[in-house]
Amino acid sequence: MVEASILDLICTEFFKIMNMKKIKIVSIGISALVGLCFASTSIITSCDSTTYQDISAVVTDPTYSKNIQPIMAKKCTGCHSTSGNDDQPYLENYDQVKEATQNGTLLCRINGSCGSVMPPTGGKLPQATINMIQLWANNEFPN
Amino acid sequence: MKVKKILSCFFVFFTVSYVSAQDDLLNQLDTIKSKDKDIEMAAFKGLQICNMQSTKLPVKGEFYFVVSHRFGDLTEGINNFFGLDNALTKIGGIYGVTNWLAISAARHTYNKTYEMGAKYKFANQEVDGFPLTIVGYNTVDINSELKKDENLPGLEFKNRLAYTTQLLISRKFSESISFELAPIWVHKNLYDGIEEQKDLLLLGAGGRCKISKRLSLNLEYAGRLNLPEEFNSQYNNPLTVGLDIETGGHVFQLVFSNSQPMNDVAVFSNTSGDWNGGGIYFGFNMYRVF
Repeated sequence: MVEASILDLICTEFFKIMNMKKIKIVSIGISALVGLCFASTSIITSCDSTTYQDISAVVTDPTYSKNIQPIMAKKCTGCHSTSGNDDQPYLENYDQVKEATQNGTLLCRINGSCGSVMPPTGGKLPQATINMIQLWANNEFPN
Repeated sequence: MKVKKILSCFFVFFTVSYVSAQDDLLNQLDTIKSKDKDIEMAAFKGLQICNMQSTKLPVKGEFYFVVSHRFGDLTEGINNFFGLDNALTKIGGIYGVTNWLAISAARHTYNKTYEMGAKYKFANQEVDGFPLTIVGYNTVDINSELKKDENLPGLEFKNRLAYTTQLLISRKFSESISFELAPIWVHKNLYDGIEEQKDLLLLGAGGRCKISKRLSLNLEYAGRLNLPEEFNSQYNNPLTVGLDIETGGHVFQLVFSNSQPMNDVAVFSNTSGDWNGGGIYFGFNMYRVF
């Protein structure tokens, strides 16, 4: 009995509050936001992102100047250069990139198989790009 | 750090407005009869500020026909006759389902994009009442230009989709000055793994300043907040200046922008022009109300 009356009291109080306009707006807003969150997450999770690189045709004969240099310039030299953050190894020209790939850890760092994955922000490189750099190495580093 | 700062500003801002709303509630309790407050009308005259959406919605049953146009790069000069060549067009419609919900569809030249949108109002700014107009806006883009061929063998339908989710918060400060803030989230199902981001957060801001009965000057900007550190993006933040010209039944907006495409996804994530170094596009948005 006691519980029922408490419940009753809570209900009447709740409806009293609900009748006030401000609360109404806020509650409608919140419920709409929640609905939206559900709707958008369901759309997003059912539509995972992929990259152009990963759905494009495989590059069969990558060269440094055509394929590798643009990636280094965009994703690496912001730190790995004298004009950037001055981080070693520098990746500004053919010799430096070849050296880092052949004798350094460039490939395993971008793969994430040794140390922390590179680049450190903005997510891992597309798998197709990593594979391309690997292929470039396997093909004896065409310039 | 920047993001944190901006977010904490937001938080403080909302807390303050929430607290003042609480005071209002207490006042309402004191008076026996609560009276309805008038809605503050027309923070913005157009449905768009320039490229960004404003907090205005069509009223129930209204249909808007939209034609927008952006000429080519102005800074190329006589080579493309100051932008006559390589123009982009948007053609579309917006329908007010209720006073708080509008749906829209448009076709853009850029990427042969079909853009669908929904705009819904959470709260109205009231005279001596609630201080802000709050509107949600979502768009879904379908890129119909992509082709599954030998260059793009892995293409699936879902790769064509891109989304924006926007929260538009505006306040009309006086008869002539209105301001809008908009946190924006852009998500792409297909993106360039080197040049672009899968998810992009932006903070947009826009304003209107009325300069005569039929003219108002608009300005908008959106800053990208979550670019990777040391990342030198080939894209820029969109900055657009516009002039609203109101004629009976029409709103005509002249704009100068560093973004040529008009779909929200591209405006916020793929603005290629630069106000400092070329790539400025002139154009107009024309609305006809039925």
